[in-house]
Amino acid sequence: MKDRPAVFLLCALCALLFSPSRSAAEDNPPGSVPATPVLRYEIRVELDDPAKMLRGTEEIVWTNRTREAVPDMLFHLYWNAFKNSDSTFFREVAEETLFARGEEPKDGDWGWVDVTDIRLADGRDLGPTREFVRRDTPVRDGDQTVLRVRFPEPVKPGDNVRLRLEFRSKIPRTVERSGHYKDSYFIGQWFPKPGVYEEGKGWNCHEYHQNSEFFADFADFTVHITVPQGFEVGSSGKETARSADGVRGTVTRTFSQAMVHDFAWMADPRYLKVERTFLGAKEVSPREYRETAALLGLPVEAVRLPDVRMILLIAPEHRGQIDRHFKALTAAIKYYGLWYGPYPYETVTMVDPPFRTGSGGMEYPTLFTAGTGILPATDVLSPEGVIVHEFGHGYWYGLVANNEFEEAWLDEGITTYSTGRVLARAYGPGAFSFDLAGIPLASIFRMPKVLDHVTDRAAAINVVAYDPVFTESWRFYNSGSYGLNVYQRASTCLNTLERLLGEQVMARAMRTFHARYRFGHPATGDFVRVVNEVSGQDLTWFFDELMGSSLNFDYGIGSLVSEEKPGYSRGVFDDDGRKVEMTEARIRERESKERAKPVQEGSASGNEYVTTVTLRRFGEARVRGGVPVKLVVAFEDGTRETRLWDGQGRWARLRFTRPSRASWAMVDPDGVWLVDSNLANNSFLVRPVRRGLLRLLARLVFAVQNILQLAASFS
Amino acid sequence: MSVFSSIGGGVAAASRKPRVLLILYLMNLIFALLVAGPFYALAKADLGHSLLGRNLQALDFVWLGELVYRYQNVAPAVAAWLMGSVLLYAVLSVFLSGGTIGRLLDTEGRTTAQTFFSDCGRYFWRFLRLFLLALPCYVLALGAVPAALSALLGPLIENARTAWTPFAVSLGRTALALLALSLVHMVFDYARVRIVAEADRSALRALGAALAFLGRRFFRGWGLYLLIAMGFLAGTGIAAALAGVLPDEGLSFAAVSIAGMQLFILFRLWARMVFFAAQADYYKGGHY
Repeated sequence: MKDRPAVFLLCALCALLFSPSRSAAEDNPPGSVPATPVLRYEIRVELDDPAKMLRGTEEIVWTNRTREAVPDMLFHLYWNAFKNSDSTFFREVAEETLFARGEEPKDGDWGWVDVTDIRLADGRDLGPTREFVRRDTPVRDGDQTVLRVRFPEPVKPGDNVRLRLEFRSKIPRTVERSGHYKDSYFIGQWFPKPGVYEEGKGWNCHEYHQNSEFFADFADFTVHITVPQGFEVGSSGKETARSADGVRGTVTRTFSQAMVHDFAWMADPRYLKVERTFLGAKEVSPREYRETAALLGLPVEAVRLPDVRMILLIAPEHRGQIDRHFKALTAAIKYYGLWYGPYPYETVTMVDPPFRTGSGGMEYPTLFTAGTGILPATDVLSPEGVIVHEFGHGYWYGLVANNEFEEAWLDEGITTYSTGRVLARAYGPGAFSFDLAGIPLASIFRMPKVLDHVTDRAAAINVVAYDPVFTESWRFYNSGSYGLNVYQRASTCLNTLERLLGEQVMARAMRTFHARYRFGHPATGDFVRVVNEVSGQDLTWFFDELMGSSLNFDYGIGSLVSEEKPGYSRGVFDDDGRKVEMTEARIRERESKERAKPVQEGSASGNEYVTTVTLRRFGEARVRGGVPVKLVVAFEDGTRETRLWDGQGRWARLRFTRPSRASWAMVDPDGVWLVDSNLANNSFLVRPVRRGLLRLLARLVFAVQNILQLAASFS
Repeated sequence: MSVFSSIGGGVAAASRKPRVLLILYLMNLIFALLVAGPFYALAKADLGHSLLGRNLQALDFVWLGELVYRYQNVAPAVAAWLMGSVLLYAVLSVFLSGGTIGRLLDTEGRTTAQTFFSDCGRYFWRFLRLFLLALPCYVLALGAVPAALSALLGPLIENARTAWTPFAVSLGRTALALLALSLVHMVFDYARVRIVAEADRSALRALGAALAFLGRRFFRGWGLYLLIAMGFLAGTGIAAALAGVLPDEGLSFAAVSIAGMQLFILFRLWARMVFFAAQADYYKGGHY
């Protein structure tokens, strides 16, 4: 016992070093915007409403921040995905086995973008070097969504190159995310945009795939948008100038934004524009600031939120939902800001997607599209869910700008996880609903309410076998596997991680990850490193096993037997040198004699019960890193016993000898492992369930009776 | 005879035949138990000893997600089981309709299981022929009529400026389909009534006579049908509202909610009897 103080000191030192209560690191102080992006754009674009065309010029300054001389530049020409059926996008749509994310346009509705002129600032023409490249596999020969030009001489490290482009685009009748319907426009992924040059790897510039989003460098944008007079315009960034041309009947509006990696806008002559301000001092109470600071281990000043100008562009038919939109956006700015860091831009523009432009539920820096219906139900968190999600992308993708082509989970999974947390905090569970002839059933019937993480899990467990979460977006089995893996499964894994680490450690890990990679391009490995660092544990196994594989995770109880310990064993025994056989009859005789003895008041009956619980690992996935599987057994006398199992084998049999029978046993009693595909087998009750199943039977029979009676009405 | 007195007569006639209602209810319940049995057995195997089963919610996403995961491969078999059951019950209902209408029109005789099932057997083949004749009419009402309306209003939907237009068209299409459905129901109800009331041995002739009967008083006949339908919908609305305030957890669930559900089924069956009885009353009043 004398070395106990030394052990204590060692533990205390370890606790200090690896304590989950370490503060969230603020490597990159939130609120600040780095002044020198890789790119600068100045774009002039004019909307030709009758011809459904865009015509524009684009001036780019690209700085080579690597240590390599760069001989060329690759551009995304995303709208060429909608040019013909040979594009990678439409080839993948044709091969899709579940839900295609678009269908081929009707005649005359195709869209495209042409770079009609491209030259260096000194006038040297790069046009002759233009070529379309296809580097993703399988190679789709007809795709024209990636353009390469070669420089006369390589751009040296630290140098910059200035280019001037002219382009014209046919605006597609909406296929996916961008396009027009009548005179409503949503214009996203519309300008020739350089890929991201990665040192040692070259240009990262993927084709426009059916199941993928985007990746680009941070840039300063100035965009002059010319539209017919009378059109309302919503755009990324802040409006800095406006001028009208009475002769041509146009208005040119200038929007600017520093340090964003994309720029989208919409135009519609019918839209309403409403502006409000998020006031950090009003929306967050002093107590909430203090609690957040304590949770994150930061000073209160570090979590204070700045004011943000909120701009809503909404269709007149949704006028009655203006407050609903702002309330959701306010909640999103508040909680994302408190948890991950203040929103760093002056404005956020929320666009109610123009009717039939297919642009709903999409994120762009400082602008996102929501999505609602004409008859929203009160208890259903729509449009709230999409607003909180898409604003959240302003953090996960907008600020922490992962490569969505290659690691979509990093923004979609984290945003889905975050959305669930914000909705739960701001609204509580939302009612489940679906529409019947356009009418949400929740506005008629009482529908069950459910939190996002519950529905996420229900979806997630169904796609584990198809692909790892860590799969390039266009390589998933189908659109369902892509969607459910990178959104719901990734979110379920993060919710599991939160339960494993505790709310505080998880909050600090997320804050640290965000702060460290704000205005950066992190990859999965960076996230894992931050989690390991903040938690003080090596959780690499967690990501490998649950997200980097397609292994089913399922621990459960194989059996539970609880019976009185026999007082006597059968067979032949040595007794004072004699062989005595304990026969069934002799045992019964002795037991009846013992039962006949009076039991003194207050004394235990003396009976013992042996409970045997067999734990099983039904799935292939395993807990690792010394994290055990927890088992709790409850006994009829009200006591409980907890045991830990390393979970490595296929099964383990645990025995408990107690003065009482077991009433139930449960694996993972704290509900940590949301990823477990079978929670029904996590517990075993000795007495069968009656009431719950009676309820189920009653509802089941009632449903069948009604279906049958419906059939009867036809006969 | 007025529409309202026929409805009153129908309500009275249906209410005077509790044994018919009881037989229909028992048939419905037994059949439903048979259909639900395998699903219940599956749930029991899954949840019979699980804490999840004890706390099962009305729409339990935790368990439903697992159910889909474990049994997605047997979905076609489940669908076939349900479709087969529904089809079988439809035929059973054809059989039971004979007994129902037979007893409703017999104002003097007692209703016993023997008289009921004797009527079922007597009219079964004629009613089955009517059922087969009705099938294409249902396809027309639920498929062709809405499709025709969609084609007619296609340009309106194509050029809609807001979501209100397709919503209104969708509602209109649904309403039209329901009205067409009510017409088919009504015509074939009168044909069944005619077969029983006139001991008509030909399903086709009964159908022709029903059409002729309704041709002379179409709007009154349809009004009667729609009034009863509205009464049924009102009752359903009240039941839904009551269900919304009833507890769905705890001990009271068993006593109140289960009883409430079964009362609603009785109401549905009674409403169907009212349809038959009121139309029979109207038919007799107009015929004689």
